[in-house]
Amino acid sequence: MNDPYQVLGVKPNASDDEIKKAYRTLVKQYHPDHYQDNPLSNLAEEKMKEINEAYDAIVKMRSGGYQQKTTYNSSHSSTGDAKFDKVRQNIQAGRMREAEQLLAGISNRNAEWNYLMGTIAYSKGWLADAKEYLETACRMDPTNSEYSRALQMLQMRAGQGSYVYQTGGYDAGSICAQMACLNCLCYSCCN
Amino acid sequence: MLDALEEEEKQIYKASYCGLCHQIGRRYGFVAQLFLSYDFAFLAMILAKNKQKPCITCKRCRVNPFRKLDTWENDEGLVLCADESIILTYFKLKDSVADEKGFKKILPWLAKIMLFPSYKKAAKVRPSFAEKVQINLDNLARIEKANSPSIDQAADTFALIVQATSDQEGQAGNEALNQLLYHIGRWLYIIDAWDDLDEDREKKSYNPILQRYTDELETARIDIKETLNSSLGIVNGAYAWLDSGTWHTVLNNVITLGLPAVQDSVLTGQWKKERNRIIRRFGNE
Repeated sequence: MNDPYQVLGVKPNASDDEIKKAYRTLVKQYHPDHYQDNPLSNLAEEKMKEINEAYDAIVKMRSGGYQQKTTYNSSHSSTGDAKFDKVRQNIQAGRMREAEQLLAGISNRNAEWNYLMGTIAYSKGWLADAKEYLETACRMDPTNSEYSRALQMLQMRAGQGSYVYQTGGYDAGSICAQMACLNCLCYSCCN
Repeated sequence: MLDALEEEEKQIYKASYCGLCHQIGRRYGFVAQLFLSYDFAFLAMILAKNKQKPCITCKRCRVNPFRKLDTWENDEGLVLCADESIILTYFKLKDSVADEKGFKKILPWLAKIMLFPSYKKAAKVRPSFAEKVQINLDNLARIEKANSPSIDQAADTFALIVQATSDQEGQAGNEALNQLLYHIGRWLYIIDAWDDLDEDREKKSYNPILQRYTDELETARIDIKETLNSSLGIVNGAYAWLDSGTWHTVLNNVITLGLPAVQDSVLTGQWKKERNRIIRRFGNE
């Protein structure tokens, strides 16, 4: 995939609002409704797909944490091991299943292995496993800044989850919110 | 300021609930309406297609015909949620029948039979969703049988079910919604597992937290709190990318205040006492 920021026509340091605005402008421009019975409809469809994928990539990077950005920008392992380079390339291309399968076949469970497993776990939303892998990676190689940054990002995200509550001035009388959650707990499908 | 928001939020929430109830009644009849709950009203607001100007009209309540209430109508997201709520409720009842023993099986078994015709119809309309629910519940059953200590592995099955409710998870341009739904589902599963620790320990039922931590309750509490906060952090991050229109005040309140408050209440063991007080208070308003 091309640089998602270039696809949307924004700078990498654009604010979330600027990105959302650019995305909506492009969607309006290339929406299939504007290209019905038009010989350019196939091109418009391909362009829409590219725009949506670029937007998804940026959303994933910005809402999902630093790991995504790290693996997007780096394709060389810190150990120089070619097997790990291949895993990184798969992760960068979004081929998580292939990356995980490659790692399963590597017997050397060193810091790099744990870091990459943590990255894959994080991308799947397996945050508890991600934390364990990243902590192991940092323990095995405490001087590696890539690993420690990834763990910090995960911990920062955990901080954001509680941050909103602590500063939100929550009033226990917000019945609306509690009722929603009450019923979520009572009727959660698997319990 | 918060009091004003609360009243407005309540009206919006109730309009969503009433809209869903009417939709279910229209598509599946009165019996299916009996199984509706507020969590599906919350889901319907997330799945709403027309977020800017939802159609809200005043309609007579089917349960209490003397009351006319604001009711949300004419939205594809509402129809989608109505169909999926039937499928999810049916599988929940099926699960209860399998889990309960002796006389306790009777009520869920009867409810399951009552809902079955509606389930058949809903599964015909949403075959892909019904299939995903079945596959993930089968996966969860395997994980439970293997007594897996991986909280993520167990939570993943339920998270994927919630993610599938959007009916768009394979399509590009939906990353924010995918992440929001996945991590709400993950959060729900884990918080429920914590809430059921005592009961599951007593009944010797599967609980990934018990499998992972056995009796190390304080260590578990710290780790579980951190992982739940991580999911809430992603939910917040993903929600910021969505345009919720009219539903924003309610959804934002639930996501930024409600979920963390319930989390705190469950993790400190206060939830079970709070639950009855809230039911009484909401019922009187």
